[in-house]
Amino acid sequence: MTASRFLLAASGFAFFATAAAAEPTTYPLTLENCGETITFDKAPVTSATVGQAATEVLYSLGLGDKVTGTSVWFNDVLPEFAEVNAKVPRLADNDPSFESVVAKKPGLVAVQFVWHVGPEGIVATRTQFHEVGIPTYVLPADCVAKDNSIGVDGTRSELFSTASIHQGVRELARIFDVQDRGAAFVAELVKREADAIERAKALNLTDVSAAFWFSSAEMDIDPYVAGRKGAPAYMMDKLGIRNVVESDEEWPVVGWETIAKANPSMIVIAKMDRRRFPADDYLKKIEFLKSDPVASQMDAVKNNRIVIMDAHAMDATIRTIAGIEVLSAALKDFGLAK
Amino acid sequence: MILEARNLGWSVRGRAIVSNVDLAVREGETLGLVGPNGSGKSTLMRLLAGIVRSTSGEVRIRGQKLHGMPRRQAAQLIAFLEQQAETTEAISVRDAVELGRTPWLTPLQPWSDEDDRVVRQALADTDMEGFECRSWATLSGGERQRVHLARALAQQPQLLLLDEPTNHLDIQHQLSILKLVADLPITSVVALHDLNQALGCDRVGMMSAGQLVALGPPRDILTAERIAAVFGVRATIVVDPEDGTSIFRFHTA
Amino acid sequence: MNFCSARPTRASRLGRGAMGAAALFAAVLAGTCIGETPIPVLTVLQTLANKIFGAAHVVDPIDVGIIWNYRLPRAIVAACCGAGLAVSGMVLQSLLRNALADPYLLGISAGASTGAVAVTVAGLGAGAVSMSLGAFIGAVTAFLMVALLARAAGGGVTLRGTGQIVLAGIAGSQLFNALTSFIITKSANAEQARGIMFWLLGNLSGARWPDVWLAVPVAIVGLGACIWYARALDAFSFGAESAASLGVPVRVVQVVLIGLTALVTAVMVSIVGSIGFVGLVIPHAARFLVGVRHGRLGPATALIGAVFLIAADVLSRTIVPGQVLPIGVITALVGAPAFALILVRGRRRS
Ligand SMILES: Nc1ncnc2c1ncn2[C@@H]1O[C@H](COP(=O)(O)OP(=O)(O)OP(=O)(O)O)[C@@H](O)[C@H]1O
Ligand SMILES: [Mg+2]
Repeated sequence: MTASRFLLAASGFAFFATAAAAEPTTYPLTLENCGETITFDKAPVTSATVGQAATEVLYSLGLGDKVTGTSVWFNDVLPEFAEVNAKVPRLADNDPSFESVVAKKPGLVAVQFVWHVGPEGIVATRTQFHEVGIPTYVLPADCVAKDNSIGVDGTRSELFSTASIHQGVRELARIFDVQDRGAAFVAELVKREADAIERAKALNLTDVSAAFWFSSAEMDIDPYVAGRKGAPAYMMDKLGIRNVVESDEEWPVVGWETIAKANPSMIVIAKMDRRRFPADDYLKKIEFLKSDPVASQMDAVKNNRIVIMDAHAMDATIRTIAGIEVLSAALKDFGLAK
Repeated sequence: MILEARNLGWSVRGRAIVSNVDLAVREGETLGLVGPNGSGKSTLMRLLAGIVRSTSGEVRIRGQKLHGMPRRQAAQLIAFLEQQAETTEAISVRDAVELGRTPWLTPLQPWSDEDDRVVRQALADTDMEGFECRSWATLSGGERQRVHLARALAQQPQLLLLDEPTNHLDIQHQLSILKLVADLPITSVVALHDLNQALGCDRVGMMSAGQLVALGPPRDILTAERIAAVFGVRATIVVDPEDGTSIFRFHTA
Repeated sequence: MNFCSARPTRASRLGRGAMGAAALFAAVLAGTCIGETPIPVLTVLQTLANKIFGAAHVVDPIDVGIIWNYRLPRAIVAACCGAGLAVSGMVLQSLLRNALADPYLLGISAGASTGAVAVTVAGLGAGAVSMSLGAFIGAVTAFLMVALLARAAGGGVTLRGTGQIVLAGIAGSQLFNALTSFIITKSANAEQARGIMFWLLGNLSGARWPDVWLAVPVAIVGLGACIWYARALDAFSFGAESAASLGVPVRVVQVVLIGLTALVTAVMVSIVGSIGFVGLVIPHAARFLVGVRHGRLGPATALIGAVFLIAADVLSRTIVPGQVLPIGVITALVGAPAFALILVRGRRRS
């Protein structure tokens, strides 16, 4: 993709975002959301959230006072929301039970992942919530051009795009009748993304490749790496980086042999609070890269081109934009430009 | 005295299956064991073979306590032909007979030509030559019984414990096997159901309800009164005009 | 084939041993040459020459690492696991006189997964215990519970009724499987369960030299015990009582061999996860090929298991380019038809 098209796309979003501003929401509001039609007679008074990304979108829209319960946390809330978040009760660190969500009698349940509330939802199905009169909203980032019935983390039919993140922000803003705030926030996201892409473009890079290492079930075992269609793939695509992994799954398992032979110019490792596997710790990841007889021979490791990125940015969330910024900055620091 | 049992007993869940058995088997004799179904013959045999541990009393082989003797040493002295032993494995006749050599072999003392000779002899003695390569599953009931016997013989024991060895055998093989056992220079204890065959033993022991109720020369033990008391049948004696030996005829009581 | 014909001479036995060793060597070499990415055979041979004979060929360090530190230890560990699991299955089948016995019968696989999940998901051991160690501890715990239960039920390690140990194994497996599910549903999310599942289906990708130093001696001890007790195992053909009358110290043999197979299986499971099919079917395949006598059957089972698992591992790495399939899927996918073929051929022969 050429740089001019980057800019065009970016400014297009910006234009649309500004244009959509101002207008107050007219109720009843009907929305198509991840295969379901949802209707609101008025803006919900309260909301419970299932998924950190959904929580942070509501906080970004200044709706922190309306959130009455949160769940499914992957790491600390964004520092700018620490204060707001401190006042909101946590239903569960992990998956909340159906009843704990319903007990809050929320006007809306905002959800990050389909697998929490989809047809086989582990919290409940959306129908179950709708039957007790609680509408649900799932962030489009997890269902637009994505089939959640295939593969463990679902499989995307098209490359993920931050447009679906913007859509989630805008739609939630509409539901809560804060469209101007939504438009402003989207505009900010679009600008940050465009700037990061612009900075990368200025480096005039050719044939830079990367692998995103999320974690591994055991230290030496084949790792989970980013596939060709998810948020990391989008970052790489926008910044002109080639993903050495060739799988359409969201987080496929690929052998170190394959990764090492592909010899990426840089490796992006996920930093997270989760400590289920030893490799969740980014320091352990670095240790492995430096000591493993094969991984340590990769150009990326020899030249210390290792990027540490917030794991949540590798999921399709508003943090993805921060991920693009981190990656863009790393390209510059690594001096990959010719 | 090759084998001695003193006050031997075995009970399970408080029920005495065999009790108070005193028995001394003499060197070289063939001792017949008779008794109705469930009278404890097989159980007594298992106790004498040492594969079931008695709950009272003891068994001595050549004066040595059987319990506590290494299994391997015991098996070099005693071979036991079970009343029933089956397998689903695709084992050949030769494989089955070779098992008899188990107590004589160790990983460091592997199979030798002598073992081959013993196995061949055992097969010949039981009239199973030519069956070596037949698979177990294809054998008839009588053939299986003869293979088991061949295995016991291949063990080259000093004492043979045979639990109904003539089971499934045709009359010719019944007679030849019993003759073989009687002619062998080894001691044997044989559980039998045919009282006429028991008459051919050197001594006979009679089991009833877990007790050894009588022991002695066949003609003294197998009396019409005792048979009536233990088996509940009426026995009459007829004389074979050919050689003048007397045999039993049985009638329902 | 007629296993009954002339007893093999010393020379022919040596010949067969040499053939077996050659087959194993060829399989390990194949496992080293074939992998996720193409590396020329010459490069492989040069690397091996450098490492083993101190030659000085110039080879790309990444290739050296892949060949020497990934593929070779992986092939050796695969061979050991294949051999260990197959021999364990064979011993249990013979000892328990149950054709459906497999190494996981005694609750080992279920216990291993509980141990692994307890460490990774529930966070037991506070980071000091690795998933492998957790799996090993879980496996041994489950086995001890099953053995105790079998003993309490009056069966297990007694002359009569090996049925109890099978039933106790089923009960133990169910219990530990339920525990695993409990731990997963209680505290896991999808991503987390996924790592566990991947491991449960068996995974050789983490095999490195330290695993080799563990797997090789364990496999050798397992096979050695099986050869040492070959005649005792033969004697179980007609049941435990028959074995006892043939001079086999039944209790000792049962305790030693069941304990040892449990240990071998637990070690293998903790290194590579629970790979199915090998322990159940390879012994039967070996019986079809070399007969039921354990002197021959043990080494044959080990060899076939070793070669089979290396082959399955190679397939798992190459069948879908750029992706590695769980090896348990391959062992069943390839093994089941192969076994069917052996069954049909064996039938025609007899
Ligand atoms: N383990 C056991 N538990 C309970 N009862 C048993 C056990 N073993 C044997 N018995 C019982 O003990 C009795 C004696 O059995 P045994 O097999 O010794 O009889 P037997 O004289 O050999 O009979 P048969 O002529 O039918 O072979 C039988 O009633 C049998 O049911
Ligand atoms: Mg009997």
